[in-house]
Amino acid sequence: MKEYKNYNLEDFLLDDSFRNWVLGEDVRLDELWIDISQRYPEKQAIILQAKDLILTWRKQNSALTNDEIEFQISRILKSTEQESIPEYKVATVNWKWWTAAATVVLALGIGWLTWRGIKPSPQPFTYNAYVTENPVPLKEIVNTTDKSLKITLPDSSIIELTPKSKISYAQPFVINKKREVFLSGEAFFRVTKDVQNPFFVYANGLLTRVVGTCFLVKASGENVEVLVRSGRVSVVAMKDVNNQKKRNTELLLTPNQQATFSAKDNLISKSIIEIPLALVKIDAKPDFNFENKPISSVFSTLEKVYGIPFVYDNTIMNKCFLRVKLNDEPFFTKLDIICQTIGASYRISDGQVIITSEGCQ
Amino acid sequence: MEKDTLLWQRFKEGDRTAFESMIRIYYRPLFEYGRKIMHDPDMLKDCIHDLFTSLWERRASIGNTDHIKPYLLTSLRNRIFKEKQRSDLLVTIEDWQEEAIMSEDAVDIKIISTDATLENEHRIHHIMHTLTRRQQEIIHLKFYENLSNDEIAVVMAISRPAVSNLLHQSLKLFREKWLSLLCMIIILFLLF
Repeated sequence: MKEYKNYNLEDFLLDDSFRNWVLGEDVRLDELWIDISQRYPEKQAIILQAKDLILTWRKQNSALTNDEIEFQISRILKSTEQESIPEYKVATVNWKWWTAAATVVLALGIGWLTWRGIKPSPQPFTYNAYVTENPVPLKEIVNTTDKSLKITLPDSSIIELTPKSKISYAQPFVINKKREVFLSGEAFFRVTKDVQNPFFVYANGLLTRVVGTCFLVKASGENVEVLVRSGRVSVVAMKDVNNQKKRNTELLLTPNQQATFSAKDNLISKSIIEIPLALVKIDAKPDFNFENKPISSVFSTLEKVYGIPFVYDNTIMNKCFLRVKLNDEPFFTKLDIICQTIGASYRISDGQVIITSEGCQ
Repeated sequence: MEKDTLLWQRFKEGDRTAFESMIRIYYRPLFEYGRKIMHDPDMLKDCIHDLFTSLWERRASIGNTDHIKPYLLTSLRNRIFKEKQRSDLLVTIEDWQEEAIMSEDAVDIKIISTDATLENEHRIHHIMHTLTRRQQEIIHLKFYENLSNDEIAVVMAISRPAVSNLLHQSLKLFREKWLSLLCMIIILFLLF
């Protein structure tokens, strides 16, 4: 038998048999350790302390919920599933499929052809300028078909190129720890994650940096728009890219937020996308059945489900309670119902919902 | 561990169920460990996500293991340190994510309280936070992840004697801090 009378706290803690007994992993140890604690009554205090420590250290002290774990598991499974899916259909069809993946929809303001028609002098940040000024040879792919074209990049990222659109990328693809793609038109990107070599999309005057995995880049209309489904995406105007002082013009977009880039005055503004979608995975349906809930908990539910920040004065609104049952209404309908019920109003500013209320009685 | 060898083998052969159960078993241990060395939970989730996806992509070429947990913990640790080094590349993003961190480290604990049983846990956490990251890390690996000293040596990339040395040191320091705290409480209790 070991010399327990000289045991101090560390010795108990580091004794495998003692640990296993405390954790109840081996019932056969009961006898042994109860015997020891009786035989060395002066050690009882230390034994208790050691038990306390082991049990406390065993506790999970991060606030990770099982739901969150399930969500993360399905996210991993989905990301790894992609390679085995032979054909990928247009994004909208599989919209739900992507709920866990990062999706950016980038609607690009200036169809470059029309752009050139208006302004004959070459613009610094057009597709042609990118391509001709690039120091390394580029591979260009033009979709001349009337169907979307699937391209696999050297890093195994996949691009669905819409008809009449084109992309260019360097060969070799990864240069200076960057993966860069130049786009004219519209394309859906599914980017293979590689934290060492970030992925950049140059589309007219806007640079989109991908931190997440999937997004759509669209070139039509007057402005550049970036719509985020989930994950993180940053956008910055090309003219500010190399200007360290102006780096703060870089915008980070979180789920359901949208950036609109105006090529004319080089400004990016942040808003909320037209139809925000719930970020929670489909089978874990969020509960919108509010049974006399304080308004702060209602807002925090919406914040969590849609990932859109709410700004309100809780000291004014702390007497507001909500009893309403909501279901699958679109986000803004829900917001209307809630605000009408408690007599408040809202506006959208800088990608956030600002609630104005005079309080409740 | 035979169970691990089998699971790993099935995973390497491309068995999705084996892959899924592996994630299910090790997600929480990985997360709990990651929290000891990385502040931002979202970044951490990304790291774990990348860890598993790259594992899946490389499944055919990676070697055998009969100890999955230390293997995963080691990979996560390397990944987190690489991610930290990379931070200068994505400065803006990191900055943006810093916000959440501050509140968590501000250990707001009522150390002096007479309700011993209730506050004991808080005190233990409080003292833990006064240890260095490395000391916290090794205590976590030993007591939460339940790794052997050999496994800890692999994960932390230090020698086996260094493990038992660091472990002893950390626990001794912990004991001293804990006892002085308990003494202080008793003295205060007697005074008032």
